[in-house]
Amino acid sequence: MAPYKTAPGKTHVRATSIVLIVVVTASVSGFFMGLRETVSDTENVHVITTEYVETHGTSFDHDPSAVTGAVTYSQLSEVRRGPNATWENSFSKLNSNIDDLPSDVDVEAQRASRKARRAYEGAPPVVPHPVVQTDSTSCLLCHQEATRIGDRIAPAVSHRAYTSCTQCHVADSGLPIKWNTGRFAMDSNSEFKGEHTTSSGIRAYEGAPPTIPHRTLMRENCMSCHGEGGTSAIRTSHPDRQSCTQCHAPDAGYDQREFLKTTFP
Amino acid sequence: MNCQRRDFLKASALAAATAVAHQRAFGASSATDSKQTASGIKWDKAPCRFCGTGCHVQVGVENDKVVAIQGDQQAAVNKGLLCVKGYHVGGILYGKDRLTTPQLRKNGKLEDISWDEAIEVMAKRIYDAPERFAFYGSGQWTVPEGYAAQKMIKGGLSNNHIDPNARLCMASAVTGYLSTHGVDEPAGCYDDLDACDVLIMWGNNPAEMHPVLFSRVVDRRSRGEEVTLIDIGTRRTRTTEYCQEYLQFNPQTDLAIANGIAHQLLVNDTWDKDFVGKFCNFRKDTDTASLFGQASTFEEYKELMSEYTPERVEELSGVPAEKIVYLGELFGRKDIRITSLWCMGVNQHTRGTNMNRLLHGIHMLSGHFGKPGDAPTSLTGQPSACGTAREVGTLAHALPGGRIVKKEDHRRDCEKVWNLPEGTINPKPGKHTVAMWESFCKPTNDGGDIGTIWVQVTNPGHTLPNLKKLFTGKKDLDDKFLIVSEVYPTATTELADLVLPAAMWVEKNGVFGNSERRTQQWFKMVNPPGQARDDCWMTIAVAHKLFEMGYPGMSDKDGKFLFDIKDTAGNSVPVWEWEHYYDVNVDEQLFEEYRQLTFKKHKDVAPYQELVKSRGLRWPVVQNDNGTWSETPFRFMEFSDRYVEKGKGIQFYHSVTKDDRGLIWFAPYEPAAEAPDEQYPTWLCTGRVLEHWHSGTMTRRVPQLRNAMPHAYVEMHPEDAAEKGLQNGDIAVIETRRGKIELPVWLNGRSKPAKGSVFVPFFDEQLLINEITLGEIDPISKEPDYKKCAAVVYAKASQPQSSPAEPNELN
Repeated sequence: MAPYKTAPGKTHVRATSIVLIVVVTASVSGFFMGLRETVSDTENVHVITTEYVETHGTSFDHDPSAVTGAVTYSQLSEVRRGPNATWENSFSKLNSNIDDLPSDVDVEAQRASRKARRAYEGAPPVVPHPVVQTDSTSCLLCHQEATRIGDRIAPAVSHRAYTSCTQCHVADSGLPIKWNTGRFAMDSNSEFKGEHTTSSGIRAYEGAPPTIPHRTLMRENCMSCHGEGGTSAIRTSHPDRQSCTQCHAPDAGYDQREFLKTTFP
Repeated sequence: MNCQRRDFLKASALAAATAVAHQRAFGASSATDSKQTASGIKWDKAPCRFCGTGCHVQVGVENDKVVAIQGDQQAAVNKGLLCVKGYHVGGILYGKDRLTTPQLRKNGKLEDISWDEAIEVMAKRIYDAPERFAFYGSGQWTVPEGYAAQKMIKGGLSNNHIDPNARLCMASAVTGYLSTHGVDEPAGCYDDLDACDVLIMWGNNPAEMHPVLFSRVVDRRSRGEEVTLIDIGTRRTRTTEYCQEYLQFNPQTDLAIANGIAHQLLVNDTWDKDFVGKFCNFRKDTDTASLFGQASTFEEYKELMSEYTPERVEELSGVPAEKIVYLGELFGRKDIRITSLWCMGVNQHTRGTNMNRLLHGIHMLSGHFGKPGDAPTSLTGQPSACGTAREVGTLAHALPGGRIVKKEDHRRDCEKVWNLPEGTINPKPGKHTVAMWESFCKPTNDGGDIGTIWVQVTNPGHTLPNLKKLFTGKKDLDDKFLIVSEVYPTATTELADLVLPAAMWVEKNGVFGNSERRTQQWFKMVNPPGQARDDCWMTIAVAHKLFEMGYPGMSDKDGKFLFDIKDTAGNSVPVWEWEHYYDVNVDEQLFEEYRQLTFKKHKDVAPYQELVKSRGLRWPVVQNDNGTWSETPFRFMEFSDRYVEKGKGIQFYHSVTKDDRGLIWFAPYEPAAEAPDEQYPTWLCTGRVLEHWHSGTMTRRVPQLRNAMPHAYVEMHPEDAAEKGLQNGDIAVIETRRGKIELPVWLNGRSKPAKGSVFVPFFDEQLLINEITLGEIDPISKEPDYKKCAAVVYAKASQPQSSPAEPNELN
């Protein structure tokens, strides 16, 4: 680089200062211009702030013109939308609002979705979400006690503790990679019709405790389905009572104890 | 895995279990099996159709269809628990493309024919050239099916070319047992899993392959017990996540690791002198590998082992020397019980027999044998590889009950029970599986001695290694005839000349024998579809057709038909006519005849009616003074096995050295048949997955299983993938000296292969990895190695979406 010369340098200095002044002025004015809210900005946009949520509720998930306004961290949980709408910072909060689920559920829809996950009544349900392929410990994070995530409940495990969940419960769409699976000619159209019972328990008289209209193997934890963390359509009216089988007897039509014969010593 | 997190979750699980316990539905037990319930479902017991664990299920039948399955709570094996395949085993009968009519290939196309025509075609083919006929059977054969085939070919045709697919899975375990205990099959049983303190997995993945047995062990932890699990493997699997130790070794060097442990026992002087002094002799191989080798001494054994120092083992295997020392110390302890589990990693191995011997060796050398929990346990893959292939002896060199064709008194025993003239059975062993198929795929005038193969209950077109050499070559040979008894169209039926629709599982009576010597029985519960018929009936029908045609071998000494089935009045029943097949219980009669042959080697199976009453019985089943029958959980051990003479403690009563002692073998580390080199630098390993049974013909037709695992993939180390420019879902090409195949890549999926190796599951019919596997066999067991060959892996040039480049589809 050539050494700094005073005479031609003076021209340089002047040119540089002019350029600098122009750039700085433009930046500063641009900054303040940008701070202004223009008409087009405010017209069609719903800025989601805590005040907006208070007045309009939370029905903005699918509103494309909704923009999340900047709020403090403590207010953030109220204005979240999209896939993270149900995020809670603390795990216990996921369980705390289980009771708030609407009670006017479509029973038939619930039965259908339950049936779709099982090959037959008593089959281990397939898992309707991706699973960790390598181990089963993460399953218990949500399924040890019932956990609510948004409008869905991850029910508590209905059977006694086994360690290897994925031995029986496989994902309903397993491989995360997709490669022209539709091209494969292997016929998986199965004609297997599993037994699916959908009845209610029989009552001896009006007001009697209904019998258990299903098998109880692998369903020793009644509260898994019938408790507060269970399928809302069949929630018990008396969750405070803990000894279910004291009043609710197994139904001979379904119970498997018939062929539990003592075998060979 | 963070220890603290595990402890927390363990405690939470315990808490949950306690909370659950007080809400448990209590049940007493009463009443009989197969009772009709008010809801219209009839329940009956059966062993599961799938793996060698042998869980019992309750099958719910309504309107001649299986509609539900439950784990059988009364079964000692699984106590009401199943795995995902077991829970969906009812659905395997109902795929839409079930085979229902016999078909003969005319002008390249399969056309429907009648059963009578099919039987005639087969009988004529056999009649014309009985010595060129071969039977390829299965570890999924029921005991009566295997016995009928065995009697028909070895007794009726004086032909020893019968071998099962179990040759591809358990043969090395068999030779391992024969050369150490002197007689096949484990000494221990599943009770060992409840009693062990340490469980070592040698190259197997029981969390996916024997899930009910594995959870039997890991569930002990949720009851507060401490069990140490050690995974010695070539890649991380689901099993590894439950283990405290994972020791990754270079393929084939498991031989060195076992020797390293033996070396430590000797160096530390912690080997069990008392046990070895009383119950063991030493053995080493002869110059050419042989089943029984030659006598050796402790000094020679010690000398040969001296090479396997921890440093040398680390050099060979990659397992750190301090881990070898750790294992040596573990085996040296007397206060713990150690169970070793192994399956295909050890058996499908070019030195599989040696590896089996070494595993038995370190258990016997250290005294970890002969007590519940101290057990070298070979796990069987198929539901009846033990019960049928090994015990009925449906192998080219064997006869029922642990006998072999080479021995004259063994042949006499069978000829006596079969009422055949002396000298009927051929003393020359027939062709084992690989030799059989190799011969079948060669032209007749070029050493192709086998002209006809009848395949029952297995899928060799998918499961044989190096398929181009052992199967697909048949396509061009017009004078070769392939008969296939099957339930669904498979890779095998693609090249079949005659396809016979078969009845499946509970569509027929059956008896299986599982991994712990438990023989289990079931009754037919539903009718097979269309014209599908029992495999056993097919064998008898063909035999009778030959009898009608005057083939001398099919009549016994008194001129009666070889399969003379009688009713209760003593009159012969024409069971070769399908309408009369179920007039009597053919299974029972064949089984009782077979039973007479099981006493010689103390493999006494229970009477059929006892099996009906129970959820299986472990042989030897002996009769008590009061007429009841007792099973034997632990063989060779005085506290459990009544055939052990009083005061002996442990008695290997069929000892090779005829002195009631077991054999501790030395076997060296030898390199693999095809190790990676410059041109093919990657190890290719194949194996299975939880959701699919073997070639997937049954499980891929169950929607829940198919959706959980829709197709095959290749797993590799992420760094290797990055080097090759491969990401999750990209198409990789795997090439070996035998061909190439394209597969999608799955990274950080279910298993994590080591750098420089890849893993491909073999269940996918459209992505037949066996086209490029090696197929080199163990010299003693003749079992091929599916776990190791050399390959090169690279990215496919373009990613196909609707590319015409089809991935190795047949046709």
